[in-house]
Amino acid sequence: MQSKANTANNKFDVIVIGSGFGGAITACRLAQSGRSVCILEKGKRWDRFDFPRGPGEVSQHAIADENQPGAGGFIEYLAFRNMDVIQGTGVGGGSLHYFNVHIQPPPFIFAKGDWPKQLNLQTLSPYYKLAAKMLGANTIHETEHRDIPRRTQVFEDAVQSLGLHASRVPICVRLEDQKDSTKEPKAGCDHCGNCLLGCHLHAKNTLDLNYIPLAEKHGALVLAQHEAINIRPDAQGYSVSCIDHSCAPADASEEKFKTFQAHQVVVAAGTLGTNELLLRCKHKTRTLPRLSPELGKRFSGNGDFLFAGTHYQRRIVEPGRGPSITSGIGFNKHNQQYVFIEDLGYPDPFIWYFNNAIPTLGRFKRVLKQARHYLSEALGTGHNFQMEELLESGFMSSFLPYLGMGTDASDGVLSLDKSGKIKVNWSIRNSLPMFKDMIQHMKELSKASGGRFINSILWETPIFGLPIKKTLTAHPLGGCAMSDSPLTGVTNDCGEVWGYKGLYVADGALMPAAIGVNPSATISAVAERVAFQMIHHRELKMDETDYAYSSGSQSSTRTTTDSQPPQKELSS
Amino acid sequence: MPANLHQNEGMPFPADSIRHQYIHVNGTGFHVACSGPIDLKDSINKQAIFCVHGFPEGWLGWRPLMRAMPDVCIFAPDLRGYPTSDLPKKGYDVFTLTEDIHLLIQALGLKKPILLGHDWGGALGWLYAHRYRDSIEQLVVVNCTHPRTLVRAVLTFQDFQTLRIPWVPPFQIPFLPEYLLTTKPGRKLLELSFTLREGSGGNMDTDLVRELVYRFSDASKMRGPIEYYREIVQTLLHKEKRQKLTALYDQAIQVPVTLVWGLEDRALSAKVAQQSSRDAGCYVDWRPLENIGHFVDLEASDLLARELYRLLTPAEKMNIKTTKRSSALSVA
Repeated sequence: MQSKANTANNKFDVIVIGSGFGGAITACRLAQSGRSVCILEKGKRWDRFDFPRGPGEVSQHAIADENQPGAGGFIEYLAFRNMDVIQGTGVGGGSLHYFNVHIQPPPFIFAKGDWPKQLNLQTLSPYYKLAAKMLGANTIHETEHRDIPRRTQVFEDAVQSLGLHASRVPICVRLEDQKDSTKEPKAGCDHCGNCLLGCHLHAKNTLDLNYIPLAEKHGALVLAQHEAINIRPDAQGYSVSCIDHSCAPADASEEKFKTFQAHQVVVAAGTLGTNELLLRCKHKTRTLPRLSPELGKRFSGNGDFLFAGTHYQRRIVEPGRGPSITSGIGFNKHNQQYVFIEDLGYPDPFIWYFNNAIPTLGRFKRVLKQARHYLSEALGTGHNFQMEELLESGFMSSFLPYLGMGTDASDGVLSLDKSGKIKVNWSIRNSLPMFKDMIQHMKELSKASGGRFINSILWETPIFGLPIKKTLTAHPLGGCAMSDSPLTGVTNDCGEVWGYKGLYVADGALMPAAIGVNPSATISAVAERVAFQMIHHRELKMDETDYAYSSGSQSSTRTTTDSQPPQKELSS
Repeated sequence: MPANLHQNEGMPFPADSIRHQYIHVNGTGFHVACSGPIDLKDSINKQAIFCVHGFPEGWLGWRPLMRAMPDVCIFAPDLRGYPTSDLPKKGYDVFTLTEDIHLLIQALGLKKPILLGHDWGGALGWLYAHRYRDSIEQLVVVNCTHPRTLVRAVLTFQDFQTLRIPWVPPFQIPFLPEYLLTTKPGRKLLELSFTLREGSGGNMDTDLVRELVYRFSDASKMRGPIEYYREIVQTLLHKEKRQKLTALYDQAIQVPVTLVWGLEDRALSAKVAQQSSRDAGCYVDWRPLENIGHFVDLEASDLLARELYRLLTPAEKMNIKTTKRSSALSVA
């Protein structure tokens, strides 16, 4: 059957579309098991020196340009009617800009009835453990050179004032310098707070530093700037056609459009990407017409609530310092509704921008006064020009931003508009009680800690408090929900699409409902499970996690790819 | 707040810079905040500091100090009747209150801590040192005159001391003061009572002040603190109780006493305070802080920390200890 030789004919055992938390993990595990794997990724490869830092770079190389796919930045900002979505694009997907949180949800989230019955915190915990080990999850602590960030301290004090205790959330960041003489020296986190803009120290354990190199080591082929546009079943399995955005614009279309063939296809193009691709295959090109009618339903923004926070009068919070999320507090209401509030950091360029964009009376007065002093000093009168007076700390320096997440109603519907682009139809109506509770918790936090609550500018106008009721999500979930039966969802509990053998989904789109905490750990665990089930057709046990993928210790798992054919019978 | 608030079971990583305990002694429950090394042995000189707050603060007033001294074990309770501790009906006389402190120190397993008191806590500290002379290492009082000196100064109109504390007579009215102080303007007044009294060189965290005031969410939480003023006046008027107090004063203090004083305190006269040693019956080390107002713990925790470090590391051992301290600080 297939092996590396066939990659020249664009034939693989598995094609993985997307290289985010779903794609990179499944691709890596499948490559480790000896299959020839190809990863198609729409975005570019990013080195640590490419990440934008200066204002000009941020404006040009941070946010992706919708009209020039494959070019521009690694963050996509999509505005829809009631909800905006931020997602990542590039080799490493959402991990390039994510806020490093690797947190397990409370157990009752899985018991809420929407999840397939095979999935719960217990069955997933070996997979969580696998992923946490690969991604190096740990919690923020004092190190040799760094104290706890001030923002963490202020947040934990605020929670303490409510009579509760905040917990440090596990983050996938290397906090201490790696000085071990046996390994190459690596710098630890320097608390620059620019996690959103990519880590210039590689202290953040993004997927392009762990899973993807491991996949490549085992023979996987990563094709950056290849955007998959269609999946068509054929005699051998599936053929995936894609556009190569790295081609020169004037190239002939044959060179731009490529087709790859594989026995199995894993769609992990991010929640919106996966849904867009599958909806297109179902409705536009009609190559996968038997996809479930549930496709695109049960979309959730994970109850994300950004831009709200507490403003203090004198307390300096300095939200731009330290890893972007460090600590959190959960509010559980009768095991039915879960709200999780974390402290949030904004990257430096945004802090400087907001500090100057938000007008203050004091600034105007100070500049006038110092201008007068400067002139009069030049003329020899007694006034002293004080340069330091012109530097101000500004609004953001004493602002503690919150990130709220919660179990929203998960009742959004994804569809395609006339031009074939994805569209989010989501209404806040059924999720409103959860959001109101969340805002109430944030207000209490602010009040108890002596600050003033500032609501999100997307939720209500800052001056008259007129309702806008829009939300911004960085955690789009759902659309290809896992289910126990083909009637209620799009895929089975292993991510295999009902009715199409060998076609898998392995990313946030699988989540049947909101998770209530940052979902990357859960997506990673589910992707690990999808891969393990694809390879072994059984559940991973807790005591196997140490050697499940270590080289040569388990007979059913092979790590050399080049010579031997894959062991499992592949579906066709 | 919704009824069913509790924490996320999925996260085994508590944040632990300040630990909180709930201790049941003397017929009521106390909330005690602890900071610094978990083991007392890791604290400088193996000593702990037991902080007693003033009116109307609570343990939160010591939080800046806890942050300024990360390498010292600091214990700060909420006294009887203050929010987050229990709010019992009775026991606001100074005898029960000093007993509370004594039993708390015992329950925490502290052997001879340094007792640090501010304002009302300072008055309790003075009395405590008179009463339980062997159970503390040192007494550090911040901006509080010896109670006997203070009462005498009030009665003799010394340095206008009588006019400096005008809230004591209205506090004798039942119920009304705590009700009024927890209304919106009352809260503002309480807030201003902190911020307006800040010294010119102070650096008070106004957000912390609002946090402190917010804790007194209703009149029942304000009752305890005000009850202290009612009970002390009753003790002074009641003959038997007064005799008991006088008997206490007659036992001279046997431990070293340091009186740290923010000189811009308008409520308590520095001139009167300097006479405290006469009534204490021992030498009192006078440590004035210039440009600092009454709330030294809130506005100059760094200066207070320096005074305390000086006491923790006696002069002859200074060199060794400072190196140790700096290394401890750099790790923190």
